[in-house]
Amino acid sequence: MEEVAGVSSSREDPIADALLACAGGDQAAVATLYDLTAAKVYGLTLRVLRNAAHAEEVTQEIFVEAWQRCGNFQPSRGSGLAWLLTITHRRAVDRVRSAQASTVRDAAYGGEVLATPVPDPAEQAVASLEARRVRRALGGLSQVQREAIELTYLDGRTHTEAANTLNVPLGTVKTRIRDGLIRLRSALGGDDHE
Amino acid sequence: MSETQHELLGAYAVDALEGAERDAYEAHLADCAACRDELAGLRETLAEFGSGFEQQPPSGLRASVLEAVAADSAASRAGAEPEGDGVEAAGQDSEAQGEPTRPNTDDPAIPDTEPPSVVTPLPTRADRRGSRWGMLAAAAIAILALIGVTVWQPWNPRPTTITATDVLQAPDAVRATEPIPGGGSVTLVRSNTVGRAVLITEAMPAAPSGQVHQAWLMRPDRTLVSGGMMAASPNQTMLLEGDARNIVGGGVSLEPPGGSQQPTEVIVQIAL
Repeated sequence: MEEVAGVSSSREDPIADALLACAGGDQAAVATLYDLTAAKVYGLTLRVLRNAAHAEEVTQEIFVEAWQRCGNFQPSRGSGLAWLLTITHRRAVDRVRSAQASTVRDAAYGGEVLATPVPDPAEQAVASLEARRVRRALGGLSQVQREAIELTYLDGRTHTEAANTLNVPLGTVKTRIRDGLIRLRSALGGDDHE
Repeated sequence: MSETQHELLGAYAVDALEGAERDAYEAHLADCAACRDELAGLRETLAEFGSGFEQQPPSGLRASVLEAVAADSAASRAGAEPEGDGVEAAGQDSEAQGEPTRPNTDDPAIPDTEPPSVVTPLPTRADRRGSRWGMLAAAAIAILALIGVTVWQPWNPRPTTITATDVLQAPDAVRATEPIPGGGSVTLVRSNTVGRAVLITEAMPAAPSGQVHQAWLMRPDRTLVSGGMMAASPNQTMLLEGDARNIVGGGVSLEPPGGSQQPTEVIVQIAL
């Protein structure tokens, strides 16, 4: 019942391997985990927070949390990356919501993003390949679905805030998020291992 | 599943719920295998999507992450963030190298000579720091020393009996900590190889007059079974009763004296 259909624990998943090693108490596995995922974790955090200093701080918290909670990771229930980015997103969003209260985020938007170090060209090429896929996937959504996903997943708004921003009923936002996710799933090429 | 709850799955997956609504949805997830499966699929999709924003982090971040993990590791092995002597004892190896090795059959956290009725906290003298059990045992001693012996009663001193230390030291031990509403925190530690779980409280508020704290284990099917009655102490380390293999969480509730078959008022839940 707990298993996700088609996700085999035997497929290659070096991130999962690192998490399992962490769960065994192997601190060195955190270094491996970091090397495999830091750009993704930091990149997503930065996208949500739009503030390099906050993103750096939250990225550190995320890896500490991953170390604390890696014993909960179950490869039969999903990939290592999905597990880690779930933590990542939750942490980033929690920070957005606490930062919003002090309006730090809006004031900091722009300048600090530009201040992030420029990645080296090879890494940038890989990253931009991923970025192109994501842009294409987003482009496959309807306008209203894309807005709903951007406001919530990428900007960290609650569905209530998104409904207010878009001036539509809450139920409509829920539906748009859900339909948007379903379309993203097919746009990203069935990479959910079904 | 109800249509309303099902509609919330997408919003939950993108972390667009918060507060009570998020909590309510998580409670629903615990009961709804179909939602959990679908959520797992959405999380794979979102991982793909979320990976599209890759950015190289600042170069110094790797070192600070590893440092923070090492610090957390040292602290968590010493239990619920001990202070003062506890930290010192956890972080240091004993100078008492070369002492005769004591067989590790009884509870290594119980000092050699003092009977378990001693109420004062144990001394943290170097000769008690026990390098022979390695840093983990030293850490366990540090925790138990801080907690004091009064809270040790739940387990039996017979050498063959499983102790809290066995769980805390188990290589497969997993743990999670939750704040208690109203103050303090509670940590649940489970080892599947030992088959038991341990609850560590820190600064837990006292139960209202006429009530007691009862500990609970959450089985994989989300049923709650009693882990035993807790001592009336804000800081305690308690080996929970019952088979804890594969438990997915635990909790503490307020109960009438003598406890209940099912929790009456849950004050904190911990998910593993």
